This record gives sequence, structure tokens and C-alpha cells, in this order.
Amino acid sequence: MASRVLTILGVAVLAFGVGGLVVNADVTVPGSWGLYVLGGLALHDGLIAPLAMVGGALLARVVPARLRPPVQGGFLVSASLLLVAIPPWTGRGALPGNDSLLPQDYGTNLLIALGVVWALVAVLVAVRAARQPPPPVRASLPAPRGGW
Amino acid sequence: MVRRPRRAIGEQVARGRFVGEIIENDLGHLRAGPFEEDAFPSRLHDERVAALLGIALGVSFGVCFLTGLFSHFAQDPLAIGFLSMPASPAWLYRVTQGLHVATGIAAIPLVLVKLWVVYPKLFAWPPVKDPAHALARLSLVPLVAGSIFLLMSGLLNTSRWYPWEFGFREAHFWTAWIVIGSLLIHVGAQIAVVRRTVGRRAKATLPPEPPGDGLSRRGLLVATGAAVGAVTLTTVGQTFRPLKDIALLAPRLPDVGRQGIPVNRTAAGAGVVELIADRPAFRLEVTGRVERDLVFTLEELQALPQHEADLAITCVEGWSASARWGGVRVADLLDMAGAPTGADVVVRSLQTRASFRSSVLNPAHARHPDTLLALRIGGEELHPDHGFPCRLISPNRPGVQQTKWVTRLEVV
Repeated sequence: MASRVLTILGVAVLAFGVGGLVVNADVTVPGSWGLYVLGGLALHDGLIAPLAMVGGALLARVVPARLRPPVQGGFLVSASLLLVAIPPWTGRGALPGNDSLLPQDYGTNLLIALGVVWALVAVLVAVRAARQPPPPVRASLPAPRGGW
Repeated sequence: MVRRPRRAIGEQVARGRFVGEIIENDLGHLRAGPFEEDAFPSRLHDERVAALLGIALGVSFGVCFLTGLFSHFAQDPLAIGFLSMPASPAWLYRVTQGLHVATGIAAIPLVLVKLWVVYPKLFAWPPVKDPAHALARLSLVPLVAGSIFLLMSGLLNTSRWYPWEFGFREAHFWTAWIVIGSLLIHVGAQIAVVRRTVGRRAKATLPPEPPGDGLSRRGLLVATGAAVGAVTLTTVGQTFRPLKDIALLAPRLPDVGRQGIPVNRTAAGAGVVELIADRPAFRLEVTGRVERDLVFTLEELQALPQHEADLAITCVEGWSASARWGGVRVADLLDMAGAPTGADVVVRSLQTRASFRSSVLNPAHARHPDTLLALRIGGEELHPDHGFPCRLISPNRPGVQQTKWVTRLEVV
């Protein structure tokens, strides 16, 4: 019941949005809009997600299992910071004569932020490494599978 | 060897077979790579994790949608009286717009992790089972593509980077309706999964987390929270002053700019440098639906009773900065001209181009004692980039409506 109400409401709201885009085509420029909407989807599903999958698989081969969680977390935080840093870092929005816009050195600042993140990761890894290793895995457990 | 010709899919459907069955029978041998059954072995591709992230995203998208609507109608008021923007509390728009941008930035890691968790479903086999399944999969396209578009375009807008041809505000606004619509459809389709996997009772019936190495499910959620914290802490200082010193990735700093306040459009950028160069030639007119038209020189404005107000410039791009403004009350000027109390006032700039060269004060704003034609900022004469000779400053109003280089008040 709730599901049906949500579906009907959702279709109506979605249709309102599509209608608004079409009616205001002079400012929403559906060609350019469509390029960025589908381009963003293609960029994520075709590049970012596969990179994350391949990166995760590589990480599993390089970093010992016991130390891996903080490293995985470090990459997740770093990727998020990188994404947020890209627009100001490119400096594409800068305007001549306006020093208040993009006033920082974003390349250096990104490195500082990443430095803090990886210093924390190093501490967490060191703490884990110093702990007693867990008892060996029982042989009855299935071996880890390959793949992504 | 005689090969039996394979029947066309349409023909098989007509014989009452499901599309999924046909794909499995005819194309099953092509199943490989990410379509393989065990292609994604991580225990983190899990319904409960997806549901929890979905709840967090639902909340953040809800906040973004409501604050976004508020901002949209602050800039483009609806012609409905009781919905018009109030002049107080003065901090309201500053908080809602700061929240809009901060929540959108916080949603970036949430969306990335959520899409990673459900990514294997993109390669579900068979790709299509029946018409209902096809429709459900298709309805994810506007949700996922629209969400990525909203976050990406919003983030680029905070840096004023516009590589596209559409108008940002309109495209962002209408896409938000599409995303909220498809989000409602998605919640309707997945509410059973949430009921099954989230909540204390559900947790008791769920099978325990399978063994594995690397991040646990809880660990993934903690790491996602850390990513949300990291992007928030490095940007929110653009509007939340106590955190400005760690705002490493903020496109603006609330104390960097002429006279310690950021500037969006400079005098040169607005093309008014020559128009304001001749001080004695400047005139401010009060005209329209008034008993007597008034004209002031800059000296005459300075000779009128002066008032001060602590108000913030709040930009739609997510930064805000407060200052002490000094100047003449708009209400005083309206009274001197004999304007009716319930009238709107159009504030016109010297700018000859640009979309924000005028703005409208509704009666609540026009008559508010803190609504000033400011001549000074922090006790100094306004810098040309802040609107010299005089600019509008009024509580609870988007920055684009704090018209600079004001030359005329038109009572309508």
C-alpha cells in the first residue's frame, strides 16, 4: 500500500520535473543537460566504480588482511577529498580582479588534508600491527575466492 | 551437421516464455566477467548496508530538496502573499543555504559508497527478467544519473565553474524534482528490504556477517562517516566561521576579500567603474508610487540620520560573511517620499547588464529597521567592489538580491 502510494507520487513528481525541463528548454538546454546527466552516469559506472573495484582487488593482494581496514578507509576518505578538491583546484571558476574567489592554493591544501588522513591511517595500522595476531584461521573455512 | 535455426526472441515471448528464461537459455554461455555469479565476492555488497546508506541519503536529499526550494523561492518569489520571504529571523537564509551546500557535499561520499555497494546489481543475470523487472531497472537511471548530476553541478557551482551551456539554477532546480520523484519510486520499491534488514527486530533475524578479511560492514559505515566528516570539515568554514582555519578546500573564506568580505561581482566585472567615478554626479532617486519624488546626492545621503546593522552577506554558492553596515534606513527614505506602507520596492543598480541588476523588496523587508542603503562597512566607506556609493543590505535575503551600486528605489 505504502509502496503503491510512493510510486504514484514519485511518478507525478518526476513528470513535473521533466515537464519543467522541457517547458523551460531555452534555459535548461536539454542537449547540454542530457550530455552532463548521461556523461556523469557513464563516468561513474564506466570508470570510477570499476577503478574502485580493481583498486580494492589490488589492495587485497598488497596489504595483509589484518592491517587492511584502516588502509581501505584511508582510500575512501582520500577519494572523497580529491573529488571535492577538483573544482577549486582547476581554478576554472576564477575571475580576473577578484582575489576573494578561490583564494587558496588547493593543490597544497589537498596534500595537507591527505597528509593528516594518512598519518591517522599509519597510527591505526601501527596499533593493529602491535596487537597480538589472531589465532590462525581454522582449515574448515573455505579459501577466499578470487575475482572482484 | 544440421543446425536448427534459433527462434527469434519475439517469437519465443509470443509462445509464453519469460525474457529472462530466453536470455538464460540462448545467451547463458556468454555470461562472463562482471556477470559471473561470483564476480563480486566482498561481503560488503549487502542489503542491510545498502539500506542504511539509503536512509542516510534519503535524509540528506530531503534536507537538500527543502532548503533548495526555499532558496529558489527566495530568489523567484511565488505570487502568494503568506509564502513571501520574512525579514526575520535574519539568520534564516544563512542557515538554510549553508545547510543546503554542506549537506550536498556530505552526500558525495554517501552516494559513492552506496553505488559501490549495489554496483554488482548492475550486472544482474539475466539482465532482464520480465517487463516489471525491466521497468524497475529503468527507473534507476533518472535516480542515479540525476543524483550524480545534482551533486556534480552543485559542487562545480560552489567554485563558479560552468563548463555547460544550460542555466545552472534552472537545470539544478528541475533535475531536483526528477531525482526526488525517482527517489520516491525507489523507496516504494525498496521499502520491504528496509523493513527486512533495518531495526532491532530485523537485526535479530538476519544471518550473521560472513567471515572475511578487510573492512567489516560496520567498518565500512565508520569509514563512510569519516569521509563525510572530512569533506564537511574542510569546506564548511566558508559559512561557519569558527571552522574557517581548517577550510582547506573551501572556494571562499569568510574573511578574505575587500574590507574583509568576499566579493562575487566586482565593480569592473559589472561594468560600473566609470559610472561611479564621478562622486558629485551620483544621484539616488526615490520614485514611483510616492507622494513626492526625491533625489539625493551622496553628501545629502550622508547628512540623513545614520543607522548601523550587523548583517550577513549570504551567497547561494554556500559562503556567508557578516559585517557591520552603516547607512540610511530604506524605511526612512520611503516615509520621506510618502510611499504607501504595503508597497513593494524595486531596487535598481547602475549596472547596465547582468541578470541581478535589480531586486524587489517585499513590504516586510522594505520596512525592516535593519534594511539599509549602506554607505559604510565596518566604519569605512564602501569599496567599489562592495557597491560604492551605496548598496542594499537587508536581513534574511540571498546575496544576489543585496543590490550594489544602487541608484533608484521605485515604489510599485
